[in-house]
Amino acid sequence: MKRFVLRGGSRAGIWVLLAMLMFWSLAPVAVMVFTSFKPRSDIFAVPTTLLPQTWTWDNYATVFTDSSMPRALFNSIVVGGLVAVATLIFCFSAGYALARYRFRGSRPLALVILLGQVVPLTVVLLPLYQFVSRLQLLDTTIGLAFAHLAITVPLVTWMVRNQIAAIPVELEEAAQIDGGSRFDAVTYITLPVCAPGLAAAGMFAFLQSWHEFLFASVMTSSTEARTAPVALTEFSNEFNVDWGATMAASVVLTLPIVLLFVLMQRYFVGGLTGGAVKG
Amino acid sequence: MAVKARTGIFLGVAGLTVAAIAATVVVNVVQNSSGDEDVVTWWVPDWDYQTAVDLVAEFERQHPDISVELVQTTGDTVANRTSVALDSGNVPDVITESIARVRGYADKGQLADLSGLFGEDIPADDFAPGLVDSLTIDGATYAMPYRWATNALIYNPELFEAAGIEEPPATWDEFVEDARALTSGDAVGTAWPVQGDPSDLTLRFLEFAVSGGATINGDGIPELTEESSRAAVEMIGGAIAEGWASPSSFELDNTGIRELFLQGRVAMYPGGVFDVDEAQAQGAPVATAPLPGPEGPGTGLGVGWAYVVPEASSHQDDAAELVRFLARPESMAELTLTFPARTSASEDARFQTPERVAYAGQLAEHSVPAPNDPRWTASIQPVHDQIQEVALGRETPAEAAANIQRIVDQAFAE
Amino acid sequence: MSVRNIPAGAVGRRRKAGHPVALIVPALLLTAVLMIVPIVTTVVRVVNDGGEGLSRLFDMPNIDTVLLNTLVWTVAAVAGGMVVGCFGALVLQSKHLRGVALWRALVMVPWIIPGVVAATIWRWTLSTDYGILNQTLLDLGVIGEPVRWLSDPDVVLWAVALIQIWVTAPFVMLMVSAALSGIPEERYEAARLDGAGGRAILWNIVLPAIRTTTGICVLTLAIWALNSFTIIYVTTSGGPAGASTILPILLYQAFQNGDQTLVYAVALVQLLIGAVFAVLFARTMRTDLEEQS
Repeated sequence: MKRFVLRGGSRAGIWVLLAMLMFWSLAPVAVMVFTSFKPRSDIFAVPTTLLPQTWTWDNYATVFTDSSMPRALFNSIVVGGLVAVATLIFCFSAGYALARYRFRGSRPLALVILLGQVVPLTVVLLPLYQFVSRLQLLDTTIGLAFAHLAITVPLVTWMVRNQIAAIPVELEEAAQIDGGSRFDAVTYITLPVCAPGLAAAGMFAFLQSWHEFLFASVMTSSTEARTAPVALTEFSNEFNVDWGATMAASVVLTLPIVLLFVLMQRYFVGGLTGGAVKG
Repeated sequence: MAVKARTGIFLGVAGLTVAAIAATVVVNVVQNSSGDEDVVTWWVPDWDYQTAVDLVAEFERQHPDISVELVQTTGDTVANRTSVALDSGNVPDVITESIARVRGYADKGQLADLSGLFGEDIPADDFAPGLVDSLTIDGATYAMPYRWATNALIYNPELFEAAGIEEPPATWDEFVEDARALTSGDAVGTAWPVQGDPSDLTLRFLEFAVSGGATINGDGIPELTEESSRAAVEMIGGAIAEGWASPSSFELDNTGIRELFLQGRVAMYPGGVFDVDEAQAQGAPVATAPLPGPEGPGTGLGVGWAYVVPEASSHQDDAAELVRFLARPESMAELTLTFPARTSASEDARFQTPERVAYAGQLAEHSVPAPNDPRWTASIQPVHDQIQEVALGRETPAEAAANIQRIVDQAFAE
Repeated sequence: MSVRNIPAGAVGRRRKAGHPVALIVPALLLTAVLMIVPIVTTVVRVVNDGGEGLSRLFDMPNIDTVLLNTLVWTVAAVAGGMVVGCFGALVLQSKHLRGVALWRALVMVPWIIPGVVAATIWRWTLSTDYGILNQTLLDLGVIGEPVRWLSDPDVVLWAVALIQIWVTAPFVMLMVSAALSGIPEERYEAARLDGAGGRAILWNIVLPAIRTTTGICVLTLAIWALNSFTIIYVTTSGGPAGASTILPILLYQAFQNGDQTLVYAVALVQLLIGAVFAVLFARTMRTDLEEQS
């Protein structure tokens, strides 16, 4: 595909468009990266320069030796991973049911699940806190992951439902005719076909949890469960924000996720499925 | 219908994941419910943490039957966490909280009365003027303050000298005149923290208003007058509109102003003692003076931190014992980034440096506790908006003052 | 497995009868416990307060501005996010590019970096006197004097919406890319054989094929816009003089002040607006899916 954007000859054109896209996406990030190498006095120097006048690793030293950020990065990945996996399990089953079965109340049910997503989190906070507290899960990564499901399940259910609905049911039936069970049809046909969509939904769930601050700040107290957005506040106190260290921490947080993304690329673009949908 | 290999794997992985999550939940429940019940939990902000560890070790030596568990909070999370914990009833035993928020919790009946602690060892009159009163409602005192500070005037003596000004301004007229003279080239006379936490700006507003005749009563309620509000709005919003306070004020918070001061771009501003320490650490030219008032010294508003014990705490007696220990002058002198709340703790040499004299004088003679009534807190944003309207040149100070009066009257009428 | 033999034209979507209770129950229970309880609580609280919170909310002198700001902000954030996101996804789909895996990961960066940091780097970049953007534009001669991005009441809302677009567009790129990769190659080839040009293929093949995905993207962006306060809070705190104050900012301020009555009132209004979006979305999806079957 793809020649539809720019036909054959505009090989150079697509690179220009890519350059624009990269500039838009990364130019502000350059501020973050370069600031992380600036000593304090450079950060607020006037006139502002993008590049540090003197380069320093001090901010990174602060992040690794004088903060709970390494542990928080680990916690964030654990919580995000748990959320992504649990969301996909719950939402694949629910999404499959909503897409494939016709039963009374299926539409209102789907709408109710979706409405869950429009509630402001500040209102959800207290009941959820009490719930997690009753389960004795306050200040644990698993308790926080549980709370984060609240912000992922409704939308992901719909994402999955739409993807499954778009797959012809005949594909599954063909597998069953070949002697497989319904489960086989799902694992061999449905799952591979919607793999890119599921991977995207999983990434969505992971990043929702990754960014969540309010629940994380209230439900975790010790460094054993503190996630990255909360640990970032360690660099500020009543009078001061250590922006150099904050930016360095942010670089440290961003790199592993970008790497994860590169490694998972084949799932996003659906290399696995090529043939199955050809029809 | 044989299960095919991949199906088995998928079902197995899904099943295992669910089982693993369930098992972790169970393990956690068992672990956490078997926790030691006879421990006093103290939520302490990370800037106090290291000192708190040492103090707690000493406390536990003196009280072998009480053990204390420290839990770190951060400045940006303590408010949310405390209010949710208090609302839910699942509370620690001692919390280090900002004094500005104490009355809100106390009004909901969420804090224990600590008035029993005050007396011979901890006389209420050893604290900054009006401080204990401002935390006392109907005879019950809901917090033990330990850290207290006001703003003083921070100025750059080199810029003053270059502009031919010999003395820091002592009155409002001098402040305005000096600020105009200091505004030239890259430098401006002063700047106001319009960006950032809105209470930073309204605190400056109240300092001017109180210096100009408004009062703050014993219940933490500001009693403004239109004249004092007008003068205060003119000093802040009017100054920005006229340009002798930085037009960049809209984009500056306290940190931003300090950084411009360190670069010699802002000549003077009312600021906290932390900024002075920072300037000295950087080797920047800095000196301090009392806040200017209409005729003589102006009034600073005291803000700080205190220990509170939640009403729902199950170890109130042990918690009170810990608070009593932390209220000793020597504990206070150690555990403060600014000034200790007790006068007797301020004798320590580190509070007596030349730059700190202005602050000590401001605290002891020209300060009142900042208002802490929740209805004032709820009015901060609309008042902040009014000051900005003047800074944008869309309202005159008199119009804004009238609006502010209406906003505050309405808030307290309810 | 001989799935390839199925003719694409015979795509039908026979739904099975029955009650797949076991499949839905986990997600439903979760939603019920986590979300429905708060919704009911909110409504009950507002009713119990006798509408005091609502009347206080609508008596605020600047409530009109806030509602208008919320509308402009939401529409701008959604429209901008969709345009930038779809553009990015289409560019990254090109076969002429090398190293696509890396580029795809790099465009995600704005969505990965912590929200507070994203807002702060934009605050610095857009600063009137000290920001790189104004400096560059001045040097290039594009503008004659610095633009007050974050302190001009007429500009500020667009500036913060731009930041929101920057942060959320990668999500659209991710979703749309996944949907694009599901379009079978044959459809393009068939269209090309019929003599369709690039633009015709875009309008007649690509966009219809990703409609359900774009639908869910619009909904997600709208929900985000209606619930996000970090960007505005960090860059402008809702100022100057309320020019960038939106409902979530009011909600957060009320929450910080412990003003529960107002919190529930604002929450209810936000809920209603969100519900309108959700119902509209669900209806669009319904007709869409039925067209397919």
